Amino acid sequence: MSRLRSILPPLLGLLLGLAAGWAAFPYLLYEHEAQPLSFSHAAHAGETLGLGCEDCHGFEPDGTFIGVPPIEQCAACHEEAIGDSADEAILVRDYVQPRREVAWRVYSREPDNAYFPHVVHVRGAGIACQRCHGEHGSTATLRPFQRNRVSGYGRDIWGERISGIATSASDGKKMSDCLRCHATEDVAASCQDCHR
Amino acid sequence: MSTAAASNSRYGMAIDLDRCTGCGACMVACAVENNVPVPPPEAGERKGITLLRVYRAENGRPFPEAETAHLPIGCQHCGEEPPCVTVCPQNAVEVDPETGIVGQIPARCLGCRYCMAACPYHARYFNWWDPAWPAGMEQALNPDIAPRMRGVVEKCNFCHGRLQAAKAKAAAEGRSELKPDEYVPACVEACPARAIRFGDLADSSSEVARLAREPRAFRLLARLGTEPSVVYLSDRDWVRRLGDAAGPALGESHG
Amino acid sequence: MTTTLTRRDALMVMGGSAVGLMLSPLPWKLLDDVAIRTQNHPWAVPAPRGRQTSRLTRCSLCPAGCALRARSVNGRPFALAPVPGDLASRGTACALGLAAAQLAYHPDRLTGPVRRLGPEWMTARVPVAPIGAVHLVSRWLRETQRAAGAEAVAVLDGWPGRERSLRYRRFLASLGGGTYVAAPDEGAFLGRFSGLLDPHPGPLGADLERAGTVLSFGAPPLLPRSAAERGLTLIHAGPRRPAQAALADLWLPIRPGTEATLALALAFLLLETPGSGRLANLVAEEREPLLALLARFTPEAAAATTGLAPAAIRQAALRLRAAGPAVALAGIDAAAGPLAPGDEIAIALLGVTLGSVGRVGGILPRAGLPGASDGCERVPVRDLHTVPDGSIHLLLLDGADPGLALPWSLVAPKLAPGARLVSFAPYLSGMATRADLIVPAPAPLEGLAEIPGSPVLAQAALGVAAPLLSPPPGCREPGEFLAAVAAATGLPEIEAAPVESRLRRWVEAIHRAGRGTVIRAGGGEASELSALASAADLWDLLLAGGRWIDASATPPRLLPALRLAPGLLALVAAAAGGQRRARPGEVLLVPIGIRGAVGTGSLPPALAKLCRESDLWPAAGDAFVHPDTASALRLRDGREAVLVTTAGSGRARVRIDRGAMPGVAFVAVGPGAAEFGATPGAREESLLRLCVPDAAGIWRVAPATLQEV
Repeated sequence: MSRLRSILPPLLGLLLGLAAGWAAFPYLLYEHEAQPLSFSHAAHAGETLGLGCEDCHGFEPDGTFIGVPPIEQCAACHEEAIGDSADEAILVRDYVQPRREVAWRVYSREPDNAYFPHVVHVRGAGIACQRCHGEHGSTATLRPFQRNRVSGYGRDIWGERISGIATSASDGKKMSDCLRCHATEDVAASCQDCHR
Repeated sequence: MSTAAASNSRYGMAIDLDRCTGCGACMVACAVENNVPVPPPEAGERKGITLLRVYRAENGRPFPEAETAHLPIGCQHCGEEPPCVTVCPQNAVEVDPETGIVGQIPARCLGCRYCMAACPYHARYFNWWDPAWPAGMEQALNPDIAPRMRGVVEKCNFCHGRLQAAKAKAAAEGRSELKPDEYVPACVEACPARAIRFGDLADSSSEVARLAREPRAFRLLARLGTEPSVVYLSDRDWVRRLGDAAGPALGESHG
Repeated sequence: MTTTLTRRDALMVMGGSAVGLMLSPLPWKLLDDVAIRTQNHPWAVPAPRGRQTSRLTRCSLCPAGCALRARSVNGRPFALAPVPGDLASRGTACALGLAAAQLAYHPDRLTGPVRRLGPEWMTARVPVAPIGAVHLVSRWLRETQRAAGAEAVAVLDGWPGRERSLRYRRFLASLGGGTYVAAPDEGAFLGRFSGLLDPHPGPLGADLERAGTVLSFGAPPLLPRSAAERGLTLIHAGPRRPAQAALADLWLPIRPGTEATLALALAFLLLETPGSGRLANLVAEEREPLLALLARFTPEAAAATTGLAPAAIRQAALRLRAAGPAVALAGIDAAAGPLAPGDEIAIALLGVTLGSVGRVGGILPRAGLPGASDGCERVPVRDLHTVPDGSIHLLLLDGADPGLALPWSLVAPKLAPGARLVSFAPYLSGMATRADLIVPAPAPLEGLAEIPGSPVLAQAALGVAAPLLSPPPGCREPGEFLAAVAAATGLPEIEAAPVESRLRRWVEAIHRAGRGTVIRAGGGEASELSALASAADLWDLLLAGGRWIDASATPPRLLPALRLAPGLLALVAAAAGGQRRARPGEVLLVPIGIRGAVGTGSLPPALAKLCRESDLWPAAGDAFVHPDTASALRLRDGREAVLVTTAGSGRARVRIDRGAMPGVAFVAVGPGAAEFGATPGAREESLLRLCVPDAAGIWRVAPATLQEV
């Protein structure tokens, strides 16, 4: 009994530590920020409109990736409200008409010293958008941006799990995640190809 | 970025010292391309970052036969066991097998400066200060190059950002090969005298490969066996002897 | 069973949780994230993100007008690169042009009018509202007119020949005749040459496109790239081998101030050849005194004065005759300024004996830009030294910097006590620091600017630099500012149209004249101007970085002859015969500097960095002396020394240079190594102040003493 009694505190401590590290830490580490507007990818890319990913997230002729499209892209259709949602009204009134950029939080924003050329992967290697971005293109609303309070980057970069082990092929955009695919596809990449 | 299909290139430069006038356009273009700021006044001549630096040498003859030659020296991208790669404790220097470019990765560098001591060409520079630009200019920087913070070493990397941009353009146009003049570093583009030429040394039909085979060509400190990718060209004997650095020190008087 | 919690338990719990934490990602990830956070410190400057665009344009910093490709991010240009395919510039651009994208961000940059209330700009400077500046200048204008008349209002134009220059002259004309002064520029020699010829041929230019040999005195001309690549032979005569002439085929090292001697000696040798009766055709009158003068300048006599061996002089004469049409030009050195009038006349005489006047590949009449000079006859262009001393009460300084030095000592004597100065420079540097009010013009790359071609060439040219940035609201084109001043002063109305409409009118005049070729930016063949359907097409082509080049000049029907008035001959004799040796213990001070960096304007940051971190561009205050001269004066390399002339004294740094001419101290006048970032008041004044201009406004060489401190 006393042995149990003597094991209990350290065991309790161990459990507390593990719980703090594995459960409390990820909960506390990430700050949830809502996107400024609720945008439905499904409504735009779904069956009714049938826009492809590259129709808004396309490439310039020199290969630069447009990324999150500027307000001009939305203005092409939404010069005036064409639906009846409250978010669209806000879009038209506060952003399209004064041509003000929407402050979207970018889930996959990489640090400045990392260079990911979309065109080489999408056009050059023919990789589908879903491979890295999952089913983001079919969502009806934008999930909140989970920002790491300490480093400032999004949760999408590290990955869903706090251990950093990827849950799926499209989870995590750390260097190790990129290198995993490079190893499988047997594509060389020197340090300088991605760091500048 | 395919592997086995592409034959490996070895990018290199051929710098014609009989054409270089010491105008400094290459140094300016390099600073603008790589987002190198003006250091604080205490930097002086030695602590500034000049990824490509043009040195002046004289033939030692008196007036009026005195002549000067100008040597643009940046990283020589050594082909055979670059000394900086060997000494780096952080593996922050890496030779890209596909292009032969010796890449310095500031993200890994911890600033021990061992590589600066190891480089026989003094081609490496240390960021003594954080970069600071005049008000407003931080919005007019090259977006393709990330500024480096203090405490890391940097050096010429043959404007690797331009290689990435050229590859992106090729991919956008559906090509996997780069056209010959699609990728040129900033200094090559800027030289008004076309003294600096750039290309693939491994491609025997390229201009630099042809120039490297000429009898005028020599390399700096060739006796060290570093096999630099940068060759210098000159007809003048006293300029060629500079490559060996075995003569009297530059600027020393003869008596 | 009682369970009392002891300290040991607490410690055990803590120990266990420590182990548990270690086995969880918390400490490792936290360490990682903290490291990342420290690298994104608040003062870290990230690279800008945004759309990159690129467009072709031309550099507006000097008459060469090299084609440039401007890369911009979010609409802000960050890099300029030369354009290899351009037919005019052939892929060249200098260090100044390549750094020009940074000029708009210089710390000395002014974004609105400022006024000085005390002697030091740093301590007593107040911003002035644009309308306030208009009224202030208007008030000064009225006071000056009342006190001293319209001639007391003067404009000093550093770069004559632009659209802005016309506006200045029209403004002065509306006053009833002010004084328009042009700073010495490259076209001055040919202007003087033209005045010596009979019949008067009008403006002249050198047909370098078709010349075979160019002999330059003073400074080499801005050669057209096509001529350089064709293999034009360049011979340069001067005391120092300048950087551009590093590619010269032949350098004639002559003592400073002996240009006339060499020119006459060469003319003598050229006339010695069979057929010397040609002089009768070349010179209208006064042939005997001229021949007598020339006979004094045998190569041996010239050798004693110039320091050049007789054999070298003969060889130079042979070279001049050898390859194709030869031209002799007197250039203007960036730091040392123009040659003396006597030198220029001697060089003109040499040009006449070369047989190049009025021939293809030589000196030909130059058609000016169509539409470029109407309405300004009332206000003639004057040289600075012809203005009476103390006669200017209000001086308007055009702030454009063509890259050539102008010593303040040339300007200061012309100012009356209490004179007011207004500068239109975009930067608080150079002569603008002397002004009482600065109304900044837009910086380079911010305003629409025209690029007239070099005034030396026989073919006129025009390019247009499109604005790549919008100027701050407080910056205003000087022409428009003066139109507002004229309106506020109640003067006859002068045109207030913006720059673009006035430049379009020039372009329309060029299109109407129908001459010349146009080249598109970026390459392709040159095409005839007549192939363009409308003036608007020409405008669009120019705005996109193209260039219009006049048709090749044609020889005049009647070859003009040189007419030298007696006084001029004496001038030549004095220039050629004067001794320019330094006395023992003295040196001849010759200012040196690279065009664009002689202390008149502000250097772009990347160029200031270049000057600080290399010795490619001479740093202000360096005095280069030959080892023998140094040992005679007991000077050591790298030491501080005091340089004294009749104008005062200053500190210099001795640099032993084996290539320097003995007996001469080549003193670099700009830029200062610490220039960038130093406050205007704290900057040392350029050593150019030690060069005293003589009565003819020449400051090229001065006797000086140099002693180690």
